[in-house]
Amino acid sequence: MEPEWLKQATGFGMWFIGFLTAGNALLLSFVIYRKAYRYGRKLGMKEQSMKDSVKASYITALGPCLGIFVGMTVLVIALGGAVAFIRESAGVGSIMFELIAARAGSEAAGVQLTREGMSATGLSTVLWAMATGSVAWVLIGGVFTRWLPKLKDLMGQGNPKQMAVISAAIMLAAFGRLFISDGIVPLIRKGAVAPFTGAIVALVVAIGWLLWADKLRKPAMKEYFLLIAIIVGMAAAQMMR
Amino acid sequence: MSEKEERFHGMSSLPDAQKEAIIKNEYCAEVHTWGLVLSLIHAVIIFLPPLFLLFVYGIFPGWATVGKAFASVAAIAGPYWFIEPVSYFLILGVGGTYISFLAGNISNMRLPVSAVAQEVAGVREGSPEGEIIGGIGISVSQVMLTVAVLAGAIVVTLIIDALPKSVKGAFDFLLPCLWGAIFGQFALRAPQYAIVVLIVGIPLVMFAGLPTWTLIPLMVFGLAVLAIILFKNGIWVPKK
Repeated sequence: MEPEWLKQATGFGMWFIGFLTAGNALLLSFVIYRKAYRYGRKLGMKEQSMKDSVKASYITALGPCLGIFVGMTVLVIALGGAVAFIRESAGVGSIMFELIAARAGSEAAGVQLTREGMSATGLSTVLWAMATGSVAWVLIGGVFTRWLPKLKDLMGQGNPKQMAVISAAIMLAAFGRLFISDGIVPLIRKGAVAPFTGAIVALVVAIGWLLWADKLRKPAMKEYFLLIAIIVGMAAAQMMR
Repeated sequence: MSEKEERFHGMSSLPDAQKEAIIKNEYCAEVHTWGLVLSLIHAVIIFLPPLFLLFVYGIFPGWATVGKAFASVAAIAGPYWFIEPVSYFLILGVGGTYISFLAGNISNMRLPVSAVAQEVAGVREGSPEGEIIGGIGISVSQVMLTVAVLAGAIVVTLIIDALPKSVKGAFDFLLPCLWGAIFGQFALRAPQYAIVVLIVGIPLVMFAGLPTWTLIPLMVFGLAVLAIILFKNGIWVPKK
């Protein structure tokens, strides 16, 4: 029989909150999409460029969405579909943070993070941990973003070419750190060949695909580079497991 | 048309000063208003699940237990509350930052989507056009995310059971593959900096013994400062 806490966690009320949470994020996305498109036209950008970016974004988001889809299993199994929907659609989303918060909440309440071990008080503590742990991101992002462009002005110093070089360097730093932590460090520390293989194969496929698209003069091909690189990389990693 | 011109085919021909003025005075002004209002509303919405249990079912663990749980989460997430908005802003742009910090999944989804959208649209990162395309891309990713998560919440258990073990296992490697591919994309743009990142980053991540949360700002701002210094001295400046 379904425990009482699970009925509360998966009832109409919780699903309604889920749609409210996702709806607010979608509303903001819709507003920004409309404004970006409108001011893109005002900037004199080509309609086709903007359309291409929409298509590319859908295709690129597909891979990470599949990852989230699979990753949220733990949350669905432990806390029910509605809570997973609330937290993953527009909570903080990072499955790692959600699991840390869920574990912190269940530990504080003295229950286990399983269907059998959970209780109503445990569920409530988990939800408080998730909310209090993530609200700072929303508030800091929401309140302080208006002052962040000053940082960009400071870096670019009014020179678009300088800004382009800095942006590329920053992207390399951000993704390089993740690439090293998840691809290279496990190989050096634990001899884990599979994640390293996946990362390197994906890197090579991405570079090869992008160069090929430039050579063929078919920029539309670039829309698929990430999806192809991830699939080939994951297949290679799985073979080396 | 040269290869460089072809790569940046999506750039507008308006003067830079005019483009900056449109973005700063018009686009950003409107986005800031919406971003602030909807973020504040979201800060309230985030508390609805525990408040729902409290007011409808009378379930509350007590402030001491909530405080204990919060302290555990804050000890891990606390530094990221401040570091992430500052570190990622230059990549996400104004519109992208509001969505990203309201709805999450930044490094695994927003950054790659923003980068690929700008690549395909043929615009430079950090430019006014990059701000527009980044905003469009990240908005679109939210639609995809909502659909995927809703589907996941409803059918994930069934699908997971039906998937072959080998396919399921391959998703363990999604993140390293994602990072590798995007690193490759930008290594093409600035190969010298890619080498610097690897030479400096591997010992820094492995042996410096620094807390994990310090690595992102250290590397991002370290590389930004290096790029400014080298650019000012005419080193590693792109020809066009």
